[in-house]
Amino acid sequence: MTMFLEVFSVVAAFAAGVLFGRWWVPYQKRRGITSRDIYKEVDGVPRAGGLIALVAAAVGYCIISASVWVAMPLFVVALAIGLLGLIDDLRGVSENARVLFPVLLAFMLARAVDVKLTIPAVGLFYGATGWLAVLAIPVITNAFNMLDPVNGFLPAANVAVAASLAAVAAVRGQAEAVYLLSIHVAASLALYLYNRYPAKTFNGNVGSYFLGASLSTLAVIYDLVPYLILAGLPFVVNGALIIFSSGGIKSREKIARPTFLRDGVVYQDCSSPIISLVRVAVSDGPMGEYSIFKALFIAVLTSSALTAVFALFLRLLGLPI
Amino acid sequence: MKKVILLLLSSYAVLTAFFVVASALLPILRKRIVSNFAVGDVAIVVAVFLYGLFIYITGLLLIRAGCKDRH
Repeated sequence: MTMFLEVFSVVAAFAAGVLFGRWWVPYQKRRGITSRDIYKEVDGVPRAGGLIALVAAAVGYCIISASVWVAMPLFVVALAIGLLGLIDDLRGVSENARVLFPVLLAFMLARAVDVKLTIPAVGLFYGATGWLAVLAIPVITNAFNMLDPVNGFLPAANVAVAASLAAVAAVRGQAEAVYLLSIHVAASLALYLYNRYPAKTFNGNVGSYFLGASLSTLAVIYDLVPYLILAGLPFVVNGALIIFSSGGIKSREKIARPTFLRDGVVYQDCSSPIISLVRVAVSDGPMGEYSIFKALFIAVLTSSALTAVFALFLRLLGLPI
Repeated sequence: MKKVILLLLSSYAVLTAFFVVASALLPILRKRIVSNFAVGDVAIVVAVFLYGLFIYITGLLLIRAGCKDRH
């Protein structure tokens, strides 16, 4: 009976996301919630499609909360941050609110649940590292927001990273985490159907904020933060490149693109001091949108697969996972 | 694509190397400094900064090679 509820929550999440998308995508078009697809030079592409993932996960998390209570605090944090992204998409939000709100929620979560930070192969320091772990929520949420450059990449990457974390949780014997991560995968897949190349809708900040908050909150609750960093390493690498090359944490609008577009092809701008993962990709040679998607997705698949193997390796060696 | 994978794999290797070094230094990392703070907490903050710097320098070297003949 319990297992039925777990499977049903995953299927219901996916179905709810797909059905909601059938209404939400044309609704955005009718209401003018759109922006320009610069690669295809097309106007009028809906820009807040990430709400599909939020609705899908809402259905899944609410159903499974009957047997896994932690689904509720998880959902509350992810919902609050996702809605911040939606408001940002529709009306704009101040830079401070974007940074401080996830930090505030992270520390509230740290007070509500017992937070630990187990370092792979090391174990616990028994210091204050548990508190450091909650910072994964604002860090990963913003890292997801910084790397959503091409159609389909963000939801596809979320499927790979969440599946990798589910594999790590399975190796650790954390069945509840596996169920919740499966719901995250289902929600990401539902969004992918609408965001895949050529996209019917963009994810918007609501998509990157919600998916980042959902995955990082799950990682904090189930002590999976180091594995989230490993599996989602392309996001971390991109964030580090941008922060170090721009001289600190700045809003996306204040950072000039280190690439330029000509006839639908992306080139690196050698005069720009900013470095991003897309710039590193096109420094091999100019690339089209779909080639960039493939390069970035292969990178995420690689880090996700390595992380699952790493956890298995630690288990075989009898080291702390 | 090659440069992205190179940057990713080198970053992955350095991060896992940090874990290995930390496991060897565990008795030191667990020493308390003040109240709840251990040496490991400080080490994590320093490691995060050094790791970011490593990623940036590696990225810089990779893109510079692609800019030698272009503007």
